[in-house]
Amino acid sequence: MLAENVWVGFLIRYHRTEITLRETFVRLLDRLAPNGDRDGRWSQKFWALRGISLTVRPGEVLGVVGRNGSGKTTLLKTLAGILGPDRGRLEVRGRVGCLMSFGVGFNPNLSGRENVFINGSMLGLSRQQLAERLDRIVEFSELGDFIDAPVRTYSAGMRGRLGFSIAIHIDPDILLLDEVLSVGDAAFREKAGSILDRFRAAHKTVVVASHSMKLVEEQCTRAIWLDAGEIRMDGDPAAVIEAYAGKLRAAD
Amino acid sequence: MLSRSQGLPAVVCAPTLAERLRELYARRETIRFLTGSYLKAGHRDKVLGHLWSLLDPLLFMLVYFLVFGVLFGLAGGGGRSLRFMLYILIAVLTWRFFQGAISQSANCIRANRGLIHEISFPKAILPVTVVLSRLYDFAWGLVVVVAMLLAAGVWPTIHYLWLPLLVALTLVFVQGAAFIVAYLGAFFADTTNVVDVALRLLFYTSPIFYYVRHKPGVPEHQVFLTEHATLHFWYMLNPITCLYECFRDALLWGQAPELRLLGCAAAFALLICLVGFAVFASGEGKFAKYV
Repeated sequence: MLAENVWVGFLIRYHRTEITLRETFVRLLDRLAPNGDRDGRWSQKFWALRGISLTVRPGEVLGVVGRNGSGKTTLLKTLAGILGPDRGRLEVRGRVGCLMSFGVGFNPNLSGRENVFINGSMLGLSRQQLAERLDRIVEFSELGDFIDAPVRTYSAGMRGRLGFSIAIHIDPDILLLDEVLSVGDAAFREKAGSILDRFRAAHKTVVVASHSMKLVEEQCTRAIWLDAGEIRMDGDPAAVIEAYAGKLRAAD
Repeated sequence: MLSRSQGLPAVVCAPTLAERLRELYARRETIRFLTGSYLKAGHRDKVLGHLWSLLDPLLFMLVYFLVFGVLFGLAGGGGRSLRFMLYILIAVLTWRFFQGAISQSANCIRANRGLIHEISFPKAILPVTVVLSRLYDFAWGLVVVVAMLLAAGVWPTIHYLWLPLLVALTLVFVQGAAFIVAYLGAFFADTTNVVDVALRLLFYTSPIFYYVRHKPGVPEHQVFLTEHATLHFWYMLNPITCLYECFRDALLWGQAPELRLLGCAAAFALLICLVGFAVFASGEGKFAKYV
């Protein structure tokens, strides 16, 4: 399976706090009143991504750099299909794998093995594929006999390992990584690093959001600089990093 | 689409309803896994475990029988008690299916906020899983009902053939309502409160433990509401009422379900399912932002 094409135009996101029925009702009255909603205090549209147009081709390793709050995570989540764009179009072809956090959706009362099936199925694999990969997944996670114990007995690290193991073995066409390779212990990081190499060798598409300039420079074929929801610069990793680092230094 | 010819699934924003349905069908394995996990997890730690699926409607039926049948005297006394128990049981079973599915759906999006924030999947899977896991209990409950009917000497008639259709209609109706409630529950935290009250109202205005139609062997004075034609009409417009009565016709009275009731239930079921799915689908892209 080859990787795909991501074409995205004008992605804008709306951000709001909890709504209750009462608030909605009051808001309605407010709007109807003659001076209603003048200062826009009921709803502020926060555009996390503004007018992003981006095409990613198969085989590219795209690095996304930017300050905290610039929209990196939002961009990745939108590409993954977790968030829908408010405006514009998004087209993604092929299976997307997100490594943003692991072990979500684990049912604590069921065993690790059962959760592999559930989680794996959620992430898009068929039962047959999961059955084939089950041994590899268990081995990679190094959980041993614990795989048959209920997940609520696992430590946080064990849960993370199992989640990561499942996510890795999904074998997606596009891989989205969100600053995730920098957490975890040394052994974990080593494993994670080799994964990236494997993906590059297999000509899959990877999009990485990272704060590590070193990683972007070494691993990526292309980089974009995201600033306040817009793409400031798009091109050769070294050049982009140069510009980004320059801005950071200037800000100090 | 180019991607389909290459065998790759395409993810385009704002897919049509038909595409969403197809996606749901493609994810049926996930639905099966999730439903299984809900059921297993729900029963695993309990002493009586799976038995509760069967005991639940029976025990509730007994409670209502004692309170309304014996205490309030709605049963009619004597040999009619057993039939009254069966009468209640059928409705209680259907009601528990509906009520359980609705109250769990109201919360299903919020409860799974972690999942929604991290993985891209058709969120419709969540209310569908809730309803299917309740359907499982409902199906087993029906088996118990039939067993009890046989034990009471009410033999199966050809009208048992209506059962698959009735179960399907109930499923469609409950699923539609679940979609709507799940959608509302995602955006409004108050939904659970409103749903609780609405369920209470529906509970008392549907004939679980009282009669509303004239049937052989049921004393005239036990049947309610038949004097006021308009009230009776509006009362019977309730699809849940229609479903109860249809089930009772097929199982207990050994008759074909009254056609106008069947029609009413079918119309409501289809309508609410279509509307519910459309409404829920419109929210698919937004859930992750609000939850």
